[in-house]
Amino acid sequence: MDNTQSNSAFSNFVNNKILPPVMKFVNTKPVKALQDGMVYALPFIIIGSVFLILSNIPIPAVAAAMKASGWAAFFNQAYTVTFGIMALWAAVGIAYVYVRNEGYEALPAGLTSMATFLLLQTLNIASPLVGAMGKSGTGITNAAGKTVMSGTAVAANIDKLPHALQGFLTSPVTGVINITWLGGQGMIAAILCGIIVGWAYSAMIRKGWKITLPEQVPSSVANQFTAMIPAGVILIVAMLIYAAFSAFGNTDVLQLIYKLLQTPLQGLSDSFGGAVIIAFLVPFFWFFGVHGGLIMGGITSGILIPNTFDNAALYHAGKLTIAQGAHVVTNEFYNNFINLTGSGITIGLVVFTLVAAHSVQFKTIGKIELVPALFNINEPFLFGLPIVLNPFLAIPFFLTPVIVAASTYLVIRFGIVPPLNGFAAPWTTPAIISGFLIGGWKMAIWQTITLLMSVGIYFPFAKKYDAVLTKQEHDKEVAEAAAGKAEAAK
Amino acid sequence: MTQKTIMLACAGGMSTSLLVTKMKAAAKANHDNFQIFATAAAEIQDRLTGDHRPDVLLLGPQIRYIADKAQVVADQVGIPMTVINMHDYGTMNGVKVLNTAKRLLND
Repeated sequence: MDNTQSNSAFSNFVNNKILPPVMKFVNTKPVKALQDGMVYALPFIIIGSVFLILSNIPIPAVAAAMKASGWAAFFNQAYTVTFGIMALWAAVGIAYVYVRNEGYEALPAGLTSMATFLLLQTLNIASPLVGAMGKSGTGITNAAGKTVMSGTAVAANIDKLPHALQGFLTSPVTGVINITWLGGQGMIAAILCGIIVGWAYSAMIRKGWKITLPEQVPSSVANQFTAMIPAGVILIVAMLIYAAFSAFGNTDVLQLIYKLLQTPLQGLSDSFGGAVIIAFLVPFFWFFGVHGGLIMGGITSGILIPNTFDNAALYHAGKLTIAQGAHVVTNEFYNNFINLTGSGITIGLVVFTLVAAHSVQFKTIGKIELVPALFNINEPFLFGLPIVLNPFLAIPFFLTPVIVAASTYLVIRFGIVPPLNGFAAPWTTPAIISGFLIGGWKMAIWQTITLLMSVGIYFPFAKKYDAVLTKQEHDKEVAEAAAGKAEAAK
Repeated sequence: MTQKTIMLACAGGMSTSLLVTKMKAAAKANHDNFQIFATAAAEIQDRLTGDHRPDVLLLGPQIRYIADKAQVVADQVGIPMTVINMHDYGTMNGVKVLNTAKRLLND
């Protein structure tokens, strides 16, 4: 395996200078907590997106029937408390993982994070009248989605009422939790909340800030008190922060984080450059033998999942177009395009082994990889062919995801295929099926085209590498045969 | 001989479970009595500190960047661990990886 031992100056540079700081970052406690904590939100996101599709089946007649039967509302209810409150899952999961990794009992920390996350947001909802009124208002629509009274008409009618009644009707609804902030919009805040609560909670427990009861007290009773001081301190601090924002800024932390941090980050990830960079970095890490899909997924999912969420909400409202603010790059863009058939989109190599490979090595590994490729797993290729540190396959390995990401971005951006609908297909969903689920039949066709691109890009490089391997194998055989003859002649 | 447990870990436990199947076949052919299973990297700590901890830990090469951390945990509970050879992993060579595990167990 001469190729894997390549010791070029460049790979030395990357291994010594670039990878260590990246790995250090990936291994920091907050990033680990983020990666592993989000895992707890995933089942709810996936289950929720099934309910989303059921409540909005993309066949108009079926969708109308669903609505009429009342089932759409029930599905919507299930969607709201799963996918719809994903930031809440993240807040709990991240703090939980952080504290678990520190070796302390972690559920109280997760619950503290949940309480903190709720404490930091304004617990009311703007009166629906406010949104409906005025020129830019939505007006009032009936069950079929038809506007029965325009925004200006609503405003004109409200204006006729006595002042006290106007004020009463337009005041925010209290006694509620605003689920807007428990979904996509609160995601970055939830991540920060989970990390900070996890950190603070562990630090306090480590310092011994807890109520210690005499030994005679049963441990199950004593455990209830362990969390009280750290949780109390965290919640008091959170309350003071909430009070300060409310009193001085007339806002709350979540709105600020959404405006200052999340919106720019979502915009950055959802751009041509963002798509290409993410697509490039996955094979880049893999080329050096470390799990690029996992590293990039961990870092980007906090931003890309809210993009998915936004699209799901638009799809739900029947407004899924780029013009109405749909994102191009969502978490499914990452899972089901950039990493389709495995990082590097190596389906092209599978096809090559099936139709054109001669060397034993290519054929053997191809046989092993055939089925895993269907489920987007390609470690046999990465390590066995290998692709890792192999200069022969480096170019297509880097190029394919970048070209697929760039072209997929463009076809969605320019409306040739519709935006991704927010369905969260698990990353192991086979190609074409996943395309159909996340964007309908046009997306399935486009996904098939990206698979063909992979074949086209990999083929010439694979052919060259296969020839090299065949020659190596042949030389080895000849050498062995010669050695055998020499042995026999003795 | 009591049954020894070999635990493999990779990112999500998916690709490694392929290797587990091959290792089980290799063990069966040798009449070796091992329990072999795959898990996700995130689970390593829980598994090692849990009640039924494995006797040896093998990491997939794609997560070798957590090897230092895993080593600390493995040392704490006193079990050997190593990162699986890249070529053996890629070719899903159950026999060789099983031998690696056996070597670690006998040391």
